[in-house]
Amino acid sequence: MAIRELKVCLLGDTGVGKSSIVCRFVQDHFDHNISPTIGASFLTKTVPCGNELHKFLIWDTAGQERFHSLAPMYYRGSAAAVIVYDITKLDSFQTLKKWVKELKEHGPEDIVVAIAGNKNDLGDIREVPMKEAKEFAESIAAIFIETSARNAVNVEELFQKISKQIPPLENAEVDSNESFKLTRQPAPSVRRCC
Amino acid sequence: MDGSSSAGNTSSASSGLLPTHSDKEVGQHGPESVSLSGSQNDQSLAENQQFPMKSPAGIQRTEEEKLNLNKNTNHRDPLTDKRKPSPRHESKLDPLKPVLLPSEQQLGNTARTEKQNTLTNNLKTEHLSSSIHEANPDKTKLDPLPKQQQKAEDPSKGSLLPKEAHDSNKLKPEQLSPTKPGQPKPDPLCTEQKKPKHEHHPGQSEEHQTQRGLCPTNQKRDEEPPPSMKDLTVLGSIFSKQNQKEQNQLDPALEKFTLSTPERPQDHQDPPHLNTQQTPHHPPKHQLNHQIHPSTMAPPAPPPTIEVFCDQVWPFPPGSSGEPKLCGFLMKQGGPLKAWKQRWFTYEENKNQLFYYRTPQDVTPLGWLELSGATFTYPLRAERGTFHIRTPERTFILKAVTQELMLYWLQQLQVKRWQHRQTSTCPDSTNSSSNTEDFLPVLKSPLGLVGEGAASVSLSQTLFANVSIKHPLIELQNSLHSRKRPSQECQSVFHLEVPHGTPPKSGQTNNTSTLRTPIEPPTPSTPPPSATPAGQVTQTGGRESPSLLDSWSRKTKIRSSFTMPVLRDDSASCERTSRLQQEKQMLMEEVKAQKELVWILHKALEAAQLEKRTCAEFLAEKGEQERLELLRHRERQAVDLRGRLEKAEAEVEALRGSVAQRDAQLSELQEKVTKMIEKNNAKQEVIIKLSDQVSATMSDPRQSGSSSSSGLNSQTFRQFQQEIENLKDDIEAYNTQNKFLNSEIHQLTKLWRNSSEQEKNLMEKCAYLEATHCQVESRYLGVLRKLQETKSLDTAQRDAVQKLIEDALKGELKSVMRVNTTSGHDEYGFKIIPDYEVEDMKLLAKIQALEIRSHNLLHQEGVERPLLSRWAQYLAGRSDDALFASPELKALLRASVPQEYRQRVWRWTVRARTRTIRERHPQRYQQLSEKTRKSPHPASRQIELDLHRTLTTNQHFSSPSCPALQQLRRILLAFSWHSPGIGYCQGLNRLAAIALLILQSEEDAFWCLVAVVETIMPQDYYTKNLLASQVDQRVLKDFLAEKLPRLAAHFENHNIDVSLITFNWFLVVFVESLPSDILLPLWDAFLYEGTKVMFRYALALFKYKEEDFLKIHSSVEIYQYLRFFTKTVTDSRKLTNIAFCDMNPFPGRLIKNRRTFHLERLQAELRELEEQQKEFVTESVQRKDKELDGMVSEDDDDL
Repeated sequence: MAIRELKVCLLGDTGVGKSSIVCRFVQDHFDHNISPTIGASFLTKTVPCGNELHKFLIWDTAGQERFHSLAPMYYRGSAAAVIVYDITKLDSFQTLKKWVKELKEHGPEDIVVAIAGNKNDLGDIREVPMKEAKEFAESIAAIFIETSARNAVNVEELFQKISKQIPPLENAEVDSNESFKLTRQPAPSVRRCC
Repeated sequence: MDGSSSAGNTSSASSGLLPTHSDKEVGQHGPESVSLSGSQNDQSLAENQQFPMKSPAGIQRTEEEKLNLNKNTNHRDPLTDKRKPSPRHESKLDPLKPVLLPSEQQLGNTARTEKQNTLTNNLKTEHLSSSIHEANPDKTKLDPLPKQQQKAEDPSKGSLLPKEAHDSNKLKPEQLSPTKPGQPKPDPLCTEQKKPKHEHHPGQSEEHQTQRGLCPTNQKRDEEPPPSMKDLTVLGSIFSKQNQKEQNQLDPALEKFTLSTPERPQDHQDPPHLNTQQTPHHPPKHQLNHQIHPSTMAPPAPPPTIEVFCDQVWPFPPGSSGEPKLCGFLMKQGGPLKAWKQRWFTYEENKNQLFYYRTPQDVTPLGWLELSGATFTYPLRAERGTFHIRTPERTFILKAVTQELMLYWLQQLQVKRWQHRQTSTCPDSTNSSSNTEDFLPVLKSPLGLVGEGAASVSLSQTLFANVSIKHPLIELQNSLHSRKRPSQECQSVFHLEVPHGTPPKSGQTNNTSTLRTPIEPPTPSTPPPSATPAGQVTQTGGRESPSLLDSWSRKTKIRSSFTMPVLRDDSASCERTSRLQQEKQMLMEEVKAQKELVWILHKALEAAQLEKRTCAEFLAEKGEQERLELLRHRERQAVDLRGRLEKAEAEVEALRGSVAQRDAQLSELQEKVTKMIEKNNAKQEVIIKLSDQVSATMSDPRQSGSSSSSGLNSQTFRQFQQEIENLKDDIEAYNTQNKFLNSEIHQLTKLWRNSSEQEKNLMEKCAYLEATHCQVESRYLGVLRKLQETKSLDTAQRDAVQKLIEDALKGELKSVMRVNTTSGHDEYGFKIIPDYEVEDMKLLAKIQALEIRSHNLLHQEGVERPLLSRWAQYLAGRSDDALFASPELKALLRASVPQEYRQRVWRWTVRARTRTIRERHPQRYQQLSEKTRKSPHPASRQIELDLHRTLTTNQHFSSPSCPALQQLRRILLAFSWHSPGIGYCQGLNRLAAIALLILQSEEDAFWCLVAVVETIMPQDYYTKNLLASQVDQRVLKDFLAEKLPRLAAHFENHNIDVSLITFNWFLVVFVESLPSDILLPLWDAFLYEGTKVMFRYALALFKYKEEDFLKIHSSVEIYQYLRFFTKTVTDSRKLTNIAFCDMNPFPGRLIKNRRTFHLERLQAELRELEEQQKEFVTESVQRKDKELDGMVSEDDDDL
């Protein structure tokens, strides 16, 4: 089986649970008080996908706004970006939109975008209706899933969905156009020299 | 008073002269007591209490006893040789023997019992206060009684002996002047008695003088003094000499109790009649002793044996045969009832344990005390001889028979403990005699009470008593054993007969053994040793007192008979004189009457003559006229005379009045005079009384006690005296205890020092071994890890490896966390083994922790101790204000600050860095705190979010309830107000947390944060775009390329952007990237030197692991390694060395230049980006319009 290395970066507002999702996915572990990510953190996990092994190189980024300026370093060359928001915080959903916008502007052309509404377990204090988020995801042709890193809900699925979205190596170019609606636009000015 | 007088006596021993004051004492005592025969017993008892330790008579009689014991032995002692004359008299005066026998018997008993008492009480170095006496019921009963006797004899000495002296004076005139030089000196008691009579002592009472005056006339009446009394004193005086000698040998402290002993040798030159009476008593007494012994000698301990031990040299080399085995009977308090039980204690040399048995014959000990860890002490306010042995497990309360024995035990135990330590730890050193710094005089072991010979002592008692309740099994075993071996039992029973345990050295022992023989068949009915003397004493006391009373009454009778004839003579002569005087008076009166008659007749004659002359004159005149003339003339004369008479009468009247006046005046004056006289008399009386009192108190308090007028005073005085005595005793007791405790402390200190040295050595050894162990283990784990990775293993092998790894990880905590076994956190609360969830990483973490530990252990001696001393030297005597930047400080800081100084040094650095800001705003932090309470900062949401995610692995921040979190919140909020441009940036929480951990003060931590952000870091390090941080990453890349070109090329080849990882390092100054034992030294230097330290360390980290990086050829693996490799750095010294040595030269200017260069470039790029962004936005807006069209069309298509 061939191993494909897939660079994935996690974006999203501070405290939405990016690191927790990664931690849950990679180590199947949850820590209430996981340290806030400064700069970025790097983890890997290999999952089988079809007849391939996908090795996710996960770059977990810092959420605070002032770290946004560093984000390009991490999402550059990424095969996928997971934008995480907190279903109990409307603000985080607004931040998500900003990230979508930035990715649209500066991200790789063929990047797979997944929107993860984390803290699914706190449904009773939900501020972001699932419907609204789902509609938004659909509007940008992104993967949408509501997760709970704490209860290990949909975390595996999130990455499986991403895996499925990644086109097979040999016909990557062939499928790229129809797979990613986001990349329909030519994104002419993405090339930067960071 | 006592002490001084006795000391005086002792000092005058050689000269043989008595100090006068002691003479007075005795001299006054005698006559005075004569007058008080009725209250004698009470008084003497009171006096006894006053002088509890003195009891000269008691000692004398003790000596007497001893002499009896030693009489047949050859004394090498020159002093005792003087006694030799006494046996000579024996033959001469044998006939007296039977007469004296009864009193002898009495004396023998008394002497023996008192000997025991004096042995147990008086002859000790320790004299506890009478309160302690009272604590011991036995002793209190015992003590006063013998002394009462002693005192009872004092008066006898005083009252009877003087008369003997006078007798002798009369009978043998050549001895009348006792102080004549060259002459054999008379009995000092006689001298004592005589002296006051020869010198007129002003303080002496009237009565005394009377007696003195009267005595000589009646000498003949009491020529026969009670022989027993004389005998007693003389015997006593003989023996006190020996006693003194022994006491001197025993202990200098004892000297004070040998009151008036030195003059005793003179007894042998006494007037012969004394000696003749004295000597014959010995043989019968000897016999008596033999008879009485079995009952009275319950604790035998014959005094002569003390001398045997004088020859023993102490301390013996350990294990030498010359040393008596340390064993003996002691009372042990134990059991549920806290009762005293006699136990046989034996010290076991090899084990350094003190075993105790029920009886000496027992094989199985009831228990043992471990001496190596034991401390010894003894309480003052407890029964005599009680001492405690404290072992770590429990405290043993033991009691020796005497205080002396207790001290002996304690000293021996100390010696044993030390010897054992010496032999067990350093067998080469034979300095058991290093105990020369003794605080207490070394005690001789009291033979019979300690050592193997003591086994027989009170054996009879212990046969059936003292059965241990706690150890029934052992009891059973022991009894069985003893039955099995009757021969052994026998042997021990007859142990005393042939005292082979401690072969006595002097010839005295013959005597001892013969003395002991009668005791041999141990009678189980023997009363307890303490009880016997009491009974004995009361007996003898009772016997003694009647004779005393006899003597007293006789004495008084004698006196009264003295005075009677004198009075008769006086009255006869008086009568005669008065009769004569009366006669004379009568004759005088007769004469007077005659004279008056003569005078009256004379007057009548004169008047008759005058009449006759006038008649003659009248008749002689011739004429009538002439006769008339003459008549007239006469008439005139008569008138004149009448007038004169009247005048005279008036005068007389006046004079009478004045006389009456004078009389009145006179009577008045006389009244006054009488009053004055009365007053004067009263005053004189008072004066006399007072002076009496004064003289009484001055001369002898005992006398004052006798005078009834000052009874009250003397009572209080006596009380005070007694108190003083008690206090003196207390002082002495405390002194002895103090000395003992000092020696104990000294010993324990020595032991402790010894132990601590050993401990240090062992610690060093242990550290070294542990380090090697850690290295071995880490290597083993490394091998396991490699095995795990190798693909060539088959499944069985793989499983085995996996199992080994699991085992290794399980044992993880035990082996590595010895530093802080309870928590697994270091001194700052960081986890020693970082938590990694991945199995692989766990193994790594453990390897790393092991290596860190081994490095730390190895560095401890060579690096950390000297560093600590350097720091101590540097900071010694410097206040925090006196710290100045200097190359020395810089070097020290680079070598890291020891934990104990870190807080202080950091505070100093922070304050130095923030001085200007703080001076401008003195109450800055308080104001900011106030502000945060009032108005929330927009950053507070982010702060709250991050607060509970700060240093979560540190135990001070691990729980939401930690107080540090509240402090952290306030610090961060205050900072966000203090620096609005930054507000709050993720990462500042970590900086503040570290500051808080080290500085332990909220405000200091705040200023530390300010110092880092505002003074150390370049501008805009934490502001919106983290511009300066990004610049620093570029600068770092430059340095990497410069300092580590190979690695930089390697990274370049694998398309590695280290800044993805290192950005984090710089922003939070390596917090949570490095283990605390590297992080904190980094911060030490960082706070002082600034950001350059971060570059140095960052490069050093890469350099440290350069080879490892170069081996990895996959970018993903390199990234993975980059992410955690900082935590695998184990040798912080090596890293520091690389950072500050290998990276040189590292000019600060270069960093500055590069920063400005990259800043400009970055700013340019950002501007470009912004432009692009704007472009894109406008473009996208345009495109969006088009897109909308497209989408609509697409939708249309779909539809």
